[in-house]
Amino acid sequence: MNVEKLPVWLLSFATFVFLGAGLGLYLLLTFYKPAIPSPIAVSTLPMEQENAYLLSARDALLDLEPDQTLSFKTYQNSAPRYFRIAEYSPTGEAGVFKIVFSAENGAPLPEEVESGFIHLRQPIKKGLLETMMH
Amino acid sequence: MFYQPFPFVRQKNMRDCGIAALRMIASYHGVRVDEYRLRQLTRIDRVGTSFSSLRNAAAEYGMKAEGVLLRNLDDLDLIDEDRPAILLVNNNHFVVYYGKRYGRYVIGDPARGRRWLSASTLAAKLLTHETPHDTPPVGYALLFEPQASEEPGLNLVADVEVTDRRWEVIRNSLGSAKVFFPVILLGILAISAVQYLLPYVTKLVVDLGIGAGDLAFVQYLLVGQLVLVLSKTGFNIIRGWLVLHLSLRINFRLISSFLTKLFALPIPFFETRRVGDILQRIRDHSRVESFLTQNALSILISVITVVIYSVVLLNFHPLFFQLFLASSFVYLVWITFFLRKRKTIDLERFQYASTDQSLVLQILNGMHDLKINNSQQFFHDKWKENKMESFGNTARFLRINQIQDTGTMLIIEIAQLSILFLSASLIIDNQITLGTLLSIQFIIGQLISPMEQIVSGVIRGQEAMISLDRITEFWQERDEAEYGEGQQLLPGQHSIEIKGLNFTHQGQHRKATLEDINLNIPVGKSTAIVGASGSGKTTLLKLLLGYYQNYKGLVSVGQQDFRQLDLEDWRQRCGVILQESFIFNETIRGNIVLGREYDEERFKIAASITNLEEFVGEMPQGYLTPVGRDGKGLSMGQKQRILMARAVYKDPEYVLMDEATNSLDAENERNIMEALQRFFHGRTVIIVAHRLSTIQFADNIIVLHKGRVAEQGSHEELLARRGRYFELIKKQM
Repeated sequence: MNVEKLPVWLLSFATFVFLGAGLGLYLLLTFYKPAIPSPIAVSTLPMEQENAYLLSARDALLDLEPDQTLSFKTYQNSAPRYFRIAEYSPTGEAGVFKIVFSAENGAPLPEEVESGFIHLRQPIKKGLLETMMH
Repeated sequence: MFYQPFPFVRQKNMRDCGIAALRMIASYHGVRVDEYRLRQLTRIDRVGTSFSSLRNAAAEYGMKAEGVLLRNLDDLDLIDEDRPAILLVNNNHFVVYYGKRYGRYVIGDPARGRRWLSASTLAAKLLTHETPHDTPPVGYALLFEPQASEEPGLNLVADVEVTDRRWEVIRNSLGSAKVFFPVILLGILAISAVQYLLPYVTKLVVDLGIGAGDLAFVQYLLVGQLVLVLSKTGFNIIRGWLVLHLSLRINFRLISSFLTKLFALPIPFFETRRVGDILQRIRDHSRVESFLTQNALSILISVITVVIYSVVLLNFHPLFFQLFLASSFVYLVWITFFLRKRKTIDLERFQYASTDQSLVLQILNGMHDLKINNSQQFFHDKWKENKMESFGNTARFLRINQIQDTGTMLIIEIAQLSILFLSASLIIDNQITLGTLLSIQFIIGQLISPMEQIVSGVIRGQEAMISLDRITEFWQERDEAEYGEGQQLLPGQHSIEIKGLNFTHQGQHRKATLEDINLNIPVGKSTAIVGASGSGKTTLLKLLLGYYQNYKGLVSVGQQDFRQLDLEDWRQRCGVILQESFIFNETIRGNIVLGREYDEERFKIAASITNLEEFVGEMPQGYLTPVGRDGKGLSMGQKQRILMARAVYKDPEYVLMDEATNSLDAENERNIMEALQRFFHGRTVIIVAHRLSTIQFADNIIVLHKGRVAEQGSHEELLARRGRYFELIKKQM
């Protein structure tokens, strides 16, 4: 290794990589707005049909798309309980949906009215950095 | 005098105790002295500083000094309290005596710091000089009295311009490698950015992924985290290579320029420095390099981080910011409190390491003599004593570290507990939320690491500065070339004229080594210099080689003042064999050619004149046989013949030989001298020798006696004169 000469290749490569990484991170954190799970407070009411419930959004009128709903989270003695949602459909009444929970993981299904959160992936409005820092 | 702290100066080298002691005295009396100039004034080649040189140096700074004999410690009571004195202890070390208090003697020991010695300890160290009479051993002290300001002696401070060359050394060490810093800084910023992002990703995994029971989202985040970790690893690899390249370059430039400086320094410099000191200074370079490549940038990043997070903290709540500010201040004060102590320990450590290095080198170099004289134990004990003392230093270092670390931990813990308490109070008062508390805890956690890096950087910086001080101490020395004007000698040979030459070794004041020398060394002739040991023969020869520049009178070569000559050019024309000439760990041929261009014809002539074939022919690899360092494995006579061949191979215009044949057997000497006579023909030759067989060929013989020319003439003329030469020769018959 000739230490009297500068390793131009290494310096150029490193500068390129570091600047590229910096620029990439800046762009990612500023302009990338991914859909992230957002909790919506809801309550469920069991229907006569097996595994079917009525879902009422308490805080907002929801305009749910079919592939957005993933799970319903309630708390039992402060411990979270998750229910996977297999399918749902609007009932026609504003903010009320018919919902079918999946029993595939063997978890017990809600038996009566339960309050909890339904998590929907929604695109963030602010930058990613701001969202993470919040 | 005890109501004011007495000044203390720590010595930087093993032989600097006298200088440090005198600086303490000068500082006590408010006299400004220049360390560099003082070193010049007190230097005595090979011997070290003496009372005499200290007294003369003190006089130059307007302080009158007087040496006194101490019969016992009671004599110290006679010294005025406001007149600190220098004592000679252990027969080789100078310390400052400040006075007596509570039955203890207050000593400023340049090697060990301020000490309060008991009477028995001081007596054992001080009263060590045996007297010719049957009386108890005595000690010596140098008493000082500042003279009136009207007669301050020479104002030597103004004579010398000593510039702080530390930054110059750093700047030079960086050179073109400066370009690495912005790139490494970019790398650190990129790594830090990723580093800062990672906890947020974890937070998202927990809060959003797990919180929502969204495994797909968790996978998505973990892939992102993996990309970040891989990027960080990649950045670290690139940064590692950059730092390696940078540190290699800085190290290379630092040590290379240090070696260049060593090559440029005048030869007397090396007569006053121990090899261990110089080697330790080479090690010092790695501390400077390590600070520049590792700590300097991380300090910068840490400061930026601290500032950013402090602003964020201030934004959250001013009380937390004030608390952080206060605890940081206490932290820094606490660390600063130990810096001085650390410096002392570090300087001591250098002395121990330097002594250790010197002792090991002496043991290895002198192994033959130690074994032959059964003196291994003596040096082993010296090494053990130094090592034991150095362990004390290590223990002190550990103690300081432990105290400092314990205090640091307490400060950090108290600060964190205070913040927790403050948070709890503010939450209860509904002034902040639980989320704010969590954020503040996170920020405080992020601030601790950079604060520690700043403090660690300050400590490493202090160590690097100490090392830099020691390195630049060498850079303050004047180069050999700075003494002359660099004039090239006119082509061809010229006679050497010496007129009214007086020379005293630096630091010696009482006796001149050479006095009133007037000589003409004719061109193309051989001149022999003879005389008893200590008559100044070798000094005269070394003067003609430009070793010493501080002589009075005129030395000229072909009408050109010797002081104005380019010494490198002059030495290029000289073939030299000195008593201390060195055989390198090279082949025999390598030792003769010594880096010059190999010329087979010239080499054969040199080998033939010095009769090398006689013993080299028996070696398995002939002239390519490697020889050990300093010619280990060769006889003294063989070494001298190789050195002679080196001088002959150079094909010089001037030949200077100092006792070059004294180890040859009679037959070899006769054969070689006859061959050399033919080689000397047409060259200007100066031979310092004892042996009649070596000097009788000379055209002119100069007899030196006690630094003066006693007589000169041809061999026959001097014999006929029946003077000192006759006496010298008669003893050899």
